[in-house]
Amino acid sequence: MLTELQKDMLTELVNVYVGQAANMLSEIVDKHIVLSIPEVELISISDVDPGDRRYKLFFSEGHLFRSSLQFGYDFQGKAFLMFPAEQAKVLANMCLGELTETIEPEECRLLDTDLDVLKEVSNILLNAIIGEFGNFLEMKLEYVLPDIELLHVTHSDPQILLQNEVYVLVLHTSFLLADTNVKGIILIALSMNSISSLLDKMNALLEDDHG
Amino acid sequence: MKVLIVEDSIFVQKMMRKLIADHFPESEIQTANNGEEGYQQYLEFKPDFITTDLLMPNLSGQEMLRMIREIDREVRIIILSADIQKVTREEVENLGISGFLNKPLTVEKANTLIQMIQVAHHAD
Repeated sequence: MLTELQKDMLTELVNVYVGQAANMLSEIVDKHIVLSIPEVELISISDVDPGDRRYKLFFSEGHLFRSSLQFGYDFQGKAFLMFPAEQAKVLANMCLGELTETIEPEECRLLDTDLDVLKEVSNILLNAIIGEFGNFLEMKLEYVLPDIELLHVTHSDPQILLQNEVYVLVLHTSFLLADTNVKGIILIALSMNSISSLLDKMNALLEDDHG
Repeated sequence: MKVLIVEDSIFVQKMMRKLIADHFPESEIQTANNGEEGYQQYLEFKPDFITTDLLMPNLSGQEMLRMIREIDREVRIIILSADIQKVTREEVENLGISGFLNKPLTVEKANTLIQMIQVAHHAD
């Protein structure tokens, strides 16, 4: 549904915004962040294939930490940041200044302090990305307070992560904290109206660029 | 000097409290978990400075700022928020603030925050 030029532009935008978010995370944990090239797709949630390698992290069986930030008005959607629970624990420890780069399974229980830190970190990262979309579109976005959840995912219920979402544009990217196995995924789902606003703005810029 | 920290993250509250206490050992510091508590604390504690987050439960930092500015144009308010939208910044600047910093609070931004407090404190 996206032309090559639109896809290229959107990928570039997401790349820059995620890069800024990664830089913020790098400042918090004092570690280099390795980013993957973002992948941008316009798809129906019902068409998401759990067997697709890109969804491996969040459709793998086990506990998952998920933070979400809902935003609204003219540009509407929900952004998700997800980590396997034990990796979320490592990230929380690093934010609290503990030099734990791996964690034993029996130590991976997330305490209230960890959840508070992870919520704050997620909020900073997701705001950095979504806020830039607002700046790009010259629209004021209103945020709903971020939610955090610990989910248990089994192979039989892969749709648990997206079951209540009706959005169709999926932008996903992953990042890796150097010297650790912490790998998270950011996924942004947008409503159809928001996709139209975004495409209109991009088309206008592309037309300007081509005279 | 009396400082009120309004922030829903306990982690950030602690960081801010330590930062301010380290640089201004004579200061008296109180904390609030959201805008509603922040407004009540403002009325009772009568701080010289307020640092506040924006997106918080019950009452946002922006709403709290608006309510405070209806009765007080003097108290110094510094925003520390993850919201990077230019429109948000303009809106709170129009309400009268002494500074706006985006999270995360890095060493560099912590120094800026301390400088902002010092400048405003000496101007009084």
